[in-house]
Amino acid sequence: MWRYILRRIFVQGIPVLLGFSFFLYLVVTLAPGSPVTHLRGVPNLDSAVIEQRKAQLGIDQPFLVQYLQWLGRIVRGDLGLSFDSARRPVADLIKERMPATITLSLASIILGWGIGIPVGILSARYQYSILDYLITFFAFVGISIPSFFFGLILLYVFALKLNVLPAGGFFLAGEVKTLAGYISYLCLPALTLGLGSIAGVARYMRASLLEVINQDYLRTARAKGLAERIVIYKHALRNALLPILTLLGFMIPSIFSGAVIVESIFAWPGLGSLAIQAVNERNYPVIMGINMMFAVLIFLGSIIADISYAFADPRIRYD
Amino acid sequence: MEAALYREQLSSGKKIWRRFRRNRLAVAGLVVLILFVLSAIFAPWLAKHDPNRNNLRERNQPPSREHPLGTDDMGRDILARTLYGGRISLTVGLVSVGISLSIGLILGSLAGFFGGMVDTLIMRLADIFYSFPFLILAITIAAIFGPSIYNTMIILGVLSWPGPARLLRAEFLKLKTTDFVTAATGIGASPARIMFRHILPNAFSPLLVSATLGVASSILSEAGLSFLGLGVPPPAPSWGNMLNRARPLHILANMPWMWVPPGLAIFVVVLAINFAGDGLRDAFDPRQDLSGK
Amino acid sequence: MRRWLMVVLLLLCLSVAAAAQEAPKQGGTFRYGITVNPRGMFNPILYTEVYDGLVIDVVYDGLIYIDRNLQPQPRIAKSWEISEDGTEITFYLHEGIKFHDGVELTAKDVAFTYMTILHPEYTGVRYSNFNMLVGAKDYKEGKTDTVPGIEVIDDYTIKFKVEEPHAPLLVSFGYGILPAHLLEDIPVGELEQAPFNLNPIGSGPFKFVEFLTDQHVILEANEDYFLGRPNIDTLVYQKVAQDAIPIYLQQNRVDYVAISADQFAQVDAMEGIDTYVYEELSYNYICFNMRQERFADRAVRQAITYGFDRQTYVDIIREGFGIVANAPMPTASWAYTSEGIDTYDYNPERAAELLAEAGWQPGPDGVLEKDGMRLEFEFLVPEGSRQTEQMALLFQQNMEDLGIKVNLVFMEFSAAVDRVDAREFDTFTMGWSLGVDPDPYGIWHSTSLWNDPGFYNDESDRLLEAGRRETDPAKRKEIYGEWQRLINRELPTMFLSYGVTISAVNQRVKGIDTDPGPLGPLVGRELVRTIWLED
Repeated sequence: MWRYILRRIFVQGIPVLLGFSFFLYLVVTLAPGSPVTHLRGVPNLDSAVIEQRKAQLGIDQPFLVQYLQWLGRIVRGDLGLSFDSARRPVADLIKERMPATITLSLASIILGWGIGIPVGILSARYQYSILDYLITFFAFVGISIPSFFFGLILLYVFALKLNVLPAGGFFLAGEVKTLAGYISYLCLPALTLGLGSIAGVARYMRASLLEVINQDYLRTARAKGLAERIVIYKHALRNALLPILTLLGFMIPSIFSGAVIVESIFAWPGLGSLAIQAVNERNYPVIMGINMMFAVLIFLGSIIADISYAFADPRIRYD
Repeated sequence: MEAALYREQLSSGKKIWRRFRRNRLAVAGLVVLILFVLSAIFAPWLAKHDPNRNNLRERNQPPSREHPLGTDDMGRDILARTLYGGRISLTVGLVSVGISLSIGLILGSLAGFFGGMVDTLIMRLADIFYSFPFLILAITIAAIFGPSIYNTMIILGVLSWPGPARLLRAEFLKLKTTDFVTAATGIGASPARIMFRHILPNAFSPLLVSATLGVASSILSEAGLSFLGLGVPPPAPSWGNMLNRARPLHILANMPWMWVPPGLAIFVVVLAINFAGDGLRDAFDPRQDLSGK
Repeated sequence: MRRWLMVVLLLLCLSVAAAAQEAPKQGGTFRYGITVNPRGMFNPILYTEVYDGLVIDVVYDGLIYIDRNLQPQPRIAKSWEISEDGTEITFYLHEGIKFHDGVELTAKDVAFTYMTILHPEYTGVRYSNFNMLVGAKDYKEGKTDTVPGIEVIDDYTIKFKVEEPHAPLLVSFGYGILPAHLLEDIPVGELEQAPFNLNPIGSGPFKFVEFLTDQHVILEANEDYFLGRPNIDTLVYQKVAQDAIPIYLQQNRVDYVAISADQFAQVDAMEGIDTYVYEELSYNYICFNMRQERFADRAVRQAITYGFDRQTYVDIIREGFGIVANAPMPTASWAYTSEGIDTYDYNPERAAELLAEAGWQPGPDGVLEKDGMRLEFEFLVPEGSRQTEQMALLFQQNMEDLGIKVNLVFMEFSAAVDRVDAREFDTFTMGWSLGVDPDPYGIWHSTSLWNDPGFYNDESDRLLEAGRRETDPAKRKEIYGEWQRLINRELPTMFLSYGVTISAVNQRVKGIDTDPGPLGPLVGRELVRTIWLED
């Protein structure tokens, strides 16, 4: 098992992450625009100051030198300093906003599984009934509707017209931080982000469960006379859950991506707005830092998914 | 032998269509899609107004006889913009899938055919592109190279090639060791010939499904990018950038005609593609159909 | 006798009642809404972003502050003297001003602040505001250890010297004064990374408490402030999403926030909220690349200006919140003049005439041509503002009517700036936010980095240089008047509109300037100290 994990990390993960970082840094530095654009607003500036600033940021060096410097720092765990006027450590900037994005992502994964799995089970249990068709239909709706459109609808209905939930944002300074309040701010963004997951998990659960239910060994169990319910829940479920775990490997990247849009709509104080702002300002260290962090998390997610798969199914062996 | 292969494919083609027809949702999806493509092609005739003609005196008007879906903040007809936006969505969807298929076909075939180092290299490359935060990458690249419809198509296409590539490689691996490929190689058929005459046709069905769903995904991604201001730039209408204009809460609350049509359009088209694509997948692979027929 | 007594009693009651009404209440939290996050560089000599400036304005005090008429007023300096020849300015400081940690502020801190700006390893951008101090250049180059132009005479007196009189200098003494005792041991080159910048200690009316990125900044009243404790207890800069501002106002979650033109109607109608509209020191423009022959001809620039309906742009696109501009000094500036300024009212016939007279004829596709040049060009439009986008569309349409083909190129702001800096543009649109002093040298002198149009005019340069040296405000105003007329004639740039801003204020906030000048109802952040809240 450990050999498998190590092999995944070193043979697959590290080269992939390296390649990704190289490609990204190249794209980011090649592009038009530069981090010193914002100095345009300063009156009476002379070019010496701009050149000095460029030297401070290290962007007067050729691309390869910049990339290697960045790489050298990051293997020591140093994400560098932000290019904006405050020059704070990138790690601090990310740390400040990460909890909000992680919370949102976790909430939508929990929603996805929490609602998706029972709904999928129901759908499979009552296959070809009206309930099944309805659920299938709504699952399709869930994966077809653009998240931002759904988010706008939720905003419109719950925040603007019914006024039962806040129209985005987070606790105000001085507002008492209650759990109920937290949930009210989290509610709409998590629902918006989670919709695709709920739908995807429900469909996957249904298909997986159906496939398992009709397998031979279960027919044997039935022939032995066990109650139908036990058959389903004990035997089928455990086997049907396996593919769901691998879904995690796919869900995580799409949730992180979706989070950027959802955070934008609901002004949720997470990494999304930092990412967009960093791109607009050509804040290379922050762009690299956020993307690399997501990449690592996604990679870890896929390893975890594979390992859980192995634990759940004793037939699978990695070595 | 090749003739026999083709005859078999034809008759199974009919079978596939019959299975597809039984799935009513899939058929409905197909119908909607055909309507959508037609409306995109015939947009100039269906729209009474020029989608880009501003008329500041008629801005922000609710639906009326003159403007069945109302006007936007520059006085442009929303129905016209929705129809023309459909053209953009269709174009971006098809072209980006075309790009991803082309790249994917080439790289996937190379990987499957040659195996070994080539295969490993290409699969690592695919990993780099595949498991990373697609939208964030797309946003980064789009923001840097500037929003334009061409950049959008290229970005979406180039970032999606691993899907088709993996598919094709899997087909290669499946068939590489079969008897008839060995036989064909034995009688001296060139690699390209083997690929085109034997392997590709078998990969056709999963590729078609993948392409169909890819179009849906591209439409959603383009809409997302345009919504963030990084996709199709103004003044050209795209469903995504029309939704972007409706973000201020007072427009959201009071002028629903500005955002409901484009949002609904994206939703309906993507839903139709998903139904049809799912039906297509079921029709190609009867094992998935558990009704026992 | 009794009647007389009753009158006295009545008068007493009335005056007590009046006094009670006017006496500001103490306490409460004032929530100032902001739409952009501060960076966390709360250091007055190192910051560049406006939103960091909001915090700096209340945590620190400068030698002077700027009042609603854009004039310098005493703050840390209780008075100052300018020598006859205008080359020396001496500040006399108040005694007993304390930093938030209790240490007294003296001339030493003032000297420290300005010496740091001139230091060879200084990493900020303010040097060019003070490089005219005597000995500044030598100090910057490391040739000397001191700056003769900054002379500490005693604990409460400090003198600044310049070679030549420099009119804009006085207002730049508003920078917050840093506590030398906390920072003098840090190498100047490392000041940027100092933890102090995230936990500032100044001598201003508010003390820094907390900064949560993307959420808020909390500041509390400085009990020992030398001019008296602020009336409010807590000041909060609250991050709000631009789109959600009307809801926040309605739900009483912010007390003061700037709103956009399209939010005005909704907010103005709200009960309990007042709106204040005022002119700002800013303008936007369409710039011509005069390095191209077709734009080098003044007639073309004037024709294009006549041919664009800027009044409709202001009335409809900006919903009336703007003023058509014809020279680069806004109405809010004391140097503004309208004498002799041509308003270039929308006149497409006149535009067509000018072009025809200059020899432009329609080509085979209808686009005007002359000597192998065509009036078809790119118009760079930075993204991010719906109004700018709408303006571009209107401009394109107006130009089409004249036979001029405008190709709109929407690009990201950073990318657009790149092209402008490289002078690879035909036309573009941006705006300038101006400082308190009207000196346009930094933007308009031919040697300036920001000379985007490529405007080289000896007379303009001469006037700008003279305006900098002239310390008499009346004479200065005349010089700038002449300069505005020159620019208005030459039109290197088409000016679009002066900035007009709207502030929304909850009615529970008392003591604001209800007739706001260019710095708004709070006069920058000045009045935050004296407003009070009545619930």
